[in-house]
Amino acid sequence: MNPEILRAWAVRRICLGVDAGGRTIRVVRALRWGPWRFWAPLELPAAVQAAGALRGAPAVAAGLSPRECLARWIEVPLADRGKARRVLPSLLDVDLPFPLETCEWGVAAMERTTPRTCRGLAVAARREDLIRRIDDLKSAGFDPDILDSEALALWTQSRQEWGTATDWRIVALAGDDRLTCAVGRGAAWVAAYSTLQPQGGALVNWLKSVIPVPNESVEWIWCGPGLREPGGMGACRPALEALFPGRSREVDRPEYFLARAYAFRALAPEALPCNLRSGVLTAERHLRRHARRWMQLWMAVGGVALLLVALNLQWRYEMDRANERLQRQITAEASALAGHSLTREKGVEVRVAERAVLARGPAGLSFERALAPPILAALKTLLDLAAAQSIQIEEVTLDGSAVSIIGSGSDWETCERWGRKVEEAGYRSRLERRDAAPVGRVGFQLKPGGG
Amino acid sequence: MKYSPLQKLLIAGTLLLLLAAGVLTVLLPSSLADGWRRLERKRQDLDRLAEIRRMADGQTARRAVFDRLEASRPAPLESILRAAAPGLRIDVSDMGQGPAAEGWRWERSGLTLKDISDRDLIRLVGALELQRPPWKVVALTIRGGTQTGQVSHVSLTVETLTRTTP
Repeated sequence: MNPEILRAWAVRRICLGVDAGGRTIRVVRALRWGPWRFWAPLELPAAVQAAGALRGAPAVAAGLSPRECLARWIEVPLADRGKARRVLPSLLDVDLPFPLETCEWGVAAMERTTPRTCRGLAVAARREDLIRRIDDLKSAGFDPDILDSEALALWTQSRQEWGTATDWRIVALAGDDRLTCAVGRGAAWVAAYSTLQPQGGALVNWLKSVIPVPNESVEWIWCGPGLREPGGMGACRPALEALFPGRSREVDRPEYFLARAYAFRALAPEALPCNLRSGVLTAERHLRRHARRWMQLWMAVGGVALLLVALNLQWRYEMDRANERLQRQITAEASALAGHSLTREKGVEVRVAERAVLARGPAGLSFERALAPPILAALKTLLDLAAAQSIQIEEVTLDGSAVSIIGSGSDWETCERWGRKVEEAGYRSRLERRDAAPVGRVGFQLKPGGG
Repeated sequence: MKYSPLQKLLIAGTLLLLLAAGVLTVLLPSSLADGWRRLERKRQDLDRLAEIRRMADGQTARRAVFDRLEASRPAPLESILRAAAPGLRIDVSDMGQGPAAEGWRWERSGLTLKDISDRDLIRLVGALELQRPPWKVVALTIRGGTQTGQVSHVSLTVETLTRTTP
């Protein structure tokens, strides 16, 4: 897990973009506020002061030209992008004119080209070049968090400001001392080249090798401080545009294009992200910030854990309290019923209380009987039930809820029906046939107790 | 990545908290279930105690009715029978006595009557039960007579409560 993910939630972020590739250092202060982006150029003293005052990540972003920083698509004969990324260093090592161990490198993009192959956009720079650039920047008062690729920065910023190209696009940076061309087609970056002598044939040859059909329509986007400088790097513009004709555009404030490209890429590293200041070269400030992020993450996790523990303990505490409250009620009530304290008889209070009350029961039964409804009312109920079914009764014995009746009915079904009515009236009884009965009638005896 | 001793302590504390939270959270469902069962048992106990309380209150209330009576015993059985059913032959037998609640005792008698009209029987039982304390008919056996409204044999068991202490 990358703790920088916490930072991604920040709505407002500021970064300084530093273009130190030429004779003059140009700095812009870029602000990203949600979806909105703003930038403004800064004078060098103010920029140095701002760089020291800026907090958060990243604070300062700079870059290296294609002469110091190689950016190249490398085909990997593997379908899985994860595996391809792991294999890429070996292939890059073969491609590089110097050992990979002496470089800092990264993979800006990895995409599937065919069902069985991938291609990765590898970016690499020699450590000594990186150290030199860092030292240059430090001596100017900047300690960059990000060292980007100039070629990728030109391309992504052109897309940011001019949208995706319809066909071939050449983003040409006319610097103080170099001309850099970043070539792409549609949305894809293709290659980049930087030269100190644009009038020589090397650049044209390189362009011809990248753009296979010379007369194909090309979109030129020009930027850089040397664009309007008489005799500067922009002087080759007409010749190049004649060789590769097409639409030609100039960006707004061209001298700050690269600086703002670095800054905005640092603020929103969605497309072709790259930072070569990594590994042993990582800025101390960046490491501290990284450690701080981790600590914030740890503290957030600790906070959640603490909350969980607190919730758990609260649950248990509340449950114990409810349990104790109920226990106190039970002890008090049972003690009152039993007539003595049951504090030391936990778990058996109900039984003890019940036994005590039931022990008083037999003595109280006489009172209960004395206040019970009159027995003649019960007798009347039984006689009414019998009359309704034309039952003749010879003898009735009632003793509490026990009933015994001898009688006869017109048929056995009538007797049974009446027996059920007696049951429903609350007398548990069973009906038995009796032989002795008046002529034409069926005799029965209703006895106490259920069948 | 290098951490200061304080940060290491914080991380160790967080890990311990995480462990504690994990263990507690894993054990929580079973612990909660046990707790709920305990509470449920206690609630059932309380409900049962409420039933017992109602039973005890019933006992107390019934006893209180008799404690409020001015007479400590009903009129003698013979005098009630003579007044309620003059001319009728009633066999009276003593069926025993015993202690009721503290300060009270019960007495029981058996009455046997023959050839009595149902009206006389109702009047007789009414006279017995209207006493304070009453002579309560707790059991009866009635055998039908040959004529309508006539009972050939009646056997009653009557019970009363008498105060043993003034």
